[in-house]
Amino acid sequence: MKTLNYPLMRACLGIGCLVLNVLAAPVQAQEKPLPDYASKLAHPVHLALGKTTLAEALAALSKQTGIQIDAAEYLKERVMLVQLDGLTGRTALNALTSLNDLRWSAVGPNHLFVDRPASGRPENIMEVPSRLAKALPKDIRDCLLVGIPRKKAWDFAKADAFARKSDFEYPQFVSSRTGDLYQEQQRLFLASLPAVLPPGTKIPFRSLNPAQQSELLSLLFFREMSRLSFSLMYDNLAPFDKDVMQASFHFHPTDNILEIGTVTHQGETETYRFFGAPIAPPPPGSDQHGKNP
Amino acid sequence: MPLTFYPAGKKIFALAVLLWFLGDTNASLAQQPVSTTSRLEQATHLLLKDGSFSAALDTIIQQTHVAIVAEGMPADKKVILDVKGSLREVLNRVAEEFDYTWREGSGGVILMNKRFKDSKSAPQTHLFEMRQVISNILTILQTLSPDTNGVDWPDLELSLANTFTDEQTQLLLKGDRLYASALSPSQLQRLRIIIGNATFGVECFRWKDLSRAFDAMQRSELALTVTNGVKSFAVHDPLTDTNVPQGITLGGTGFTKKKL
Repeated sequence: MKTLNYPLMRACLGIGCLVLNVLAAPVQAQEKPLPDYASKLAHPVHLALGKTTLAEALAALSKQTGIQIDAAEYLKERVMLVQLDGLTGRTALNALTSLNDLRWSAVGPNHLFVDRPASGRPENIMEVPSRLAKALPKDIRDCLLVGIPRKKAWDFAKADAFARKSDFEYPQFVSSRTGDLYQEQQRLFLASLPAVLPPGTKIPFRSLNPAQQSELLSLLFFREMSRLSFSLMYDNLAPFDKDVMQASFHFHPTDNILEIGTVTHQGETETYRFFGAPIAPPPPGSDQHGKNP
Repeated sequence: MPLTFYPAGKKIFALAVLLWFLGDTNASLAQQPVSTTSRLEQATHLLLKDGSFSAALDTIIQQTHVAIVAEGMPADKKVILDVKGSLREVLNRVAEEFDYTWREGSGGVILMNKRFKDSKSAPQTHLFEMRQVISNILTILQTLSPDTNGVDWPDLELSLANTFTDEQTQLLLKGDRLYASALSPSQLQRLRIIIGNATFGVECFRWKDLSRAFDAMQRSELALTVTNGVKSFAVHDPLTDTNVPQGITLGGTGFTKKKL
């Protein structure tokens, strides 16, 4: 009777693995040659820069790694504090980008590019709130509490300095936050301007100092953000927005308003969301009956 | 006595598997994040006498050798701090004092972002970045705002109402609801356009205006007035001789804190 010699088989298998390992390594290297930047990013870098901008930080990283690393024009002025010492270039680059939810990608064998992931076009109306959130820089999202789970945002709102507003719903809290931000930036900007001005004074934007420029841009932007519909920004779209088949018309003859809306029921609570406009009554003597309610 | 290869075979097999594993993963090991969990527990003493955010981070780095990157800079705030504890506890305290949050990123780097608990602190705004953000928002809104050649939704609604059949009209005049399911395909399409225009049309218009304002910003000038000590201003684009956003005057008596 023939018996299998398992120890011998294990030894042979082991030797076979060793041989394969040795043979396979160069083959793998030939099949997937590492790009130039990959090996350069493996070296340690020293970025003890303190307060700087993203453009300056990437320039320093470029110099130390020998890789051309560019940021999108709109990101270059972002201010940050950088103390990254003794890390690999890759870890440093990951830290600089992930701080603000940016990304880096290779655009050439020795050329990297940093930008913000595109928000993209929504395929349908349901995607609008999340796309809008994605279009905003991380710090604006954090500040306005958008693009994060509503429960988390609400917990934050309740737990912090805004607790005094706890009797307000989350969208109202966010609206209030945005409005406060706009008002505060406007106050700072106006306070920075001279108290007495000759009539007709005009100041070029370019001649404002950086803080004034930032305040002016902020107040204009957040003023508009505070007017942006909650429905769009905070995923609070009406049923008829999401699906036209949920819509129905209702006519109020006393004020001639034709409403378009949706009635929803949750338990005993009935909710009606609608919009509408006056429908002009038909002119006397015209044959409009039946055409215009 | 028969020879046995068992011990040697087991060792060779184990060695081979180990080498195979190491050989295969060697390249990627260098890119794996190094956990700083133990470093986060190391004893740290932060003593600051009227120190800034930057000074606090410098002290922490000197003691613990962690790498830190922080977004923006807090206002010129100076604090007095004497905190002894783990690095995690010290970071928590610094973040609290300067209105930041922190997390551990890839490779154990400490990433610090502004928390905006202080309602006076604002996100960064740079002209080029804001232009890109506004452009992105506009693209999203325009995607779902049907082109109505400048006709607003109330006029479109009236136009749709004039296509109602006698039965549809009678239903509405009786006080009943006319459901979308009872509309013809062409009426349904009109309804889609009305809803899209009502939901996105006004927003689209305003963001287009804001986009024009930011595009013109570098050549714009502030038209300032001070009346009875109350300042107001408009951003004026000399190229088009208009105020941007359209006809907006900011500041002035309308400047009051929003009441909740």
